[in-house]
Amino acid sequence: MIALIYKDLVALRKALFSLIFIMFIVGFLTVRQGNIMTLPLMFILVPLILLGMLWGSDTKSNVDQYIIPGPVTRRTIVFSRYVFVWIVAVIGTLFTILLKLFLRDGILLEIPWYLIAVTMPLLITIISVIQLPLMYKFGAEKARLIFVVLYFVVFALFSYIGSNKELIAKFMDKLILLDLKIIGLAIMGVTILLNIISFALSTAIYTKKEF
Amino acid sequence: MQNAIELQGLKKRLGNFVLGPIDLTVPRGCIVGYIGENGAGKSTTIKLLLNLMIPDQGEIKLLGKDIREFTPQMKKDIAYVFDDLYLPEDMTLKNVQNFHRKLYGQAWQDKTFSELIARFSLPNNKTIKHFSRGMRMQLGLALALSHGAKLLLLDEATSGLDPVIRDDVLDLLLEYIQNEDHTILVSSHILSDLEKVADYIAFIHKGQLLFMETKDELVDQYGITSLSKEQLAEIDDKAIVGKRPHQFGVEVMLKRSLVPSDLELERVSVEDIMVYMIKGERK
Repeated sequence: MIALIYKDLVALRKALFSLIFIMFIVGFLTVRQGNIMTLPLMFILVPLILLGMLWGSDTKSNVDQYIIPGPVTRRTIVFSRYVFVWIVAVIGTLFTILLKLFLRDGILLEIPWYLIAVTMPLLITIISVIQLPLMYKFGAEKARLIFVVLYFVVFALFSYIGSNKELIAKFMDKLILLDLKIIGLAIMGVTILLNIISFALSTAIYTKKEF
Repeated sequence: MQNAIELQGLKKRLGNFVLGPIDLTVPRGCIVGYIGENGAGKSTTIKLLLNLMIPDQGEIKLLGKDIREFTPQMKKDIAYVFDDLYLPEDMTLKNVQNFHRKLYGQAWQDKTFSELIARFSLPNNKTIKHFSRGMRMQLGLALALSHGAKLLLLDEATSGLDPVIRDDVLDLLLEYIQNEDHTILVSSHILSDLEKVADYIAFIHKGQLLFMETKDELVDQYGITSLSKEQLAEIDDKAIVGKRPHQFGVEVMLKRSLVPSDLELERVSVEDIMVYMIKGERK
């Protein structure tokens, strides 16, 4: 497992440096503009970008054919990819909590730290947990096409929500009545459940895959 | 002593192509040359052995164990080299070594790897993408031989290499096989290489394993001669393996046991056997 993470980090070495550099620049600009919330939200895109690059590198080198006969199980190979996403989720969450601790104003101050601790992992992993089984099933190219379709579905959903604001208002009214800790627990449950389902699906697909 | 490879009724369908059913037993301590024309099923067999493909039916045992029961620890006993080195191109030699050290744990032999790298004079500071094909294959072989594996599977690992590098590879295989617990299955188009090192030849044609015999017995069974059409007509049809017509008659490969002992036959090579068998069938 450590070997697989190491392989991924080496394959992404240059891309990671570029990404960190870009994040510093964007961070600097957003701090100057007072739009600090952009910083944690950037982490949502990080696994998406990195997974795309990893898939590209793996497909080009045909590395699966090399590691599957090696001393790892197919389940471990899939698991290592999820661990990669979870590492980004942990870094993003810690970064957001630290940001909250050092901020003097802004929306982050109003959100309790435990809500950040459960919401950030959901936001950072949500796209990846949908994307990973699709990538394992259809390959990176077709998965991207499916994702374009998904973007349209999400867009249509937001349009629907936009034209039915009273429904959202009612939902928010009910949500406010709930204890924030219960909401936090529910978010954590959803995150764990989504990740488990996604991992099980990816493993089932990858176990049957032939090279 | 357990066999290194045991295949029983192995079958795999890929579109119109069907591999098998194949029954094959490879004893430990030998080199088996796995030959056949393009698309005969050599790579498919090796992919099935390495669990890269799932058989439709049949059993595969490596080193006495069903491959479906293999644990990661058991997989360390199997080494493999494909027709290219399938590792990310941005890896340097040091990265590759670190990756394998983490992958194979205690089984990884740093000393052996460093010795092989020095022997092949592979550059430390270049990334794999700057390696020539020969260097990539040498690195692949060095990796395969650096974790104490007992079974080495090579799939067209010497194709596209110059004769000097191919000779280095063959030397290394002969050194590896000095340990009687070690076994090699090597598929190759370059039959002259197999002629030098193989103890057994297994011939696969259109997905069917036609034979697996010791190389010496195999070349002793057949002979080549040139005959006129009249002389050919007197030969038992069963004795004719294949023929090549020429201006003065026909060059024919015959089974020694089925022709008169006074008929002079030239010694055949493994390549002759393969070519005549395939072409003989086409005619």
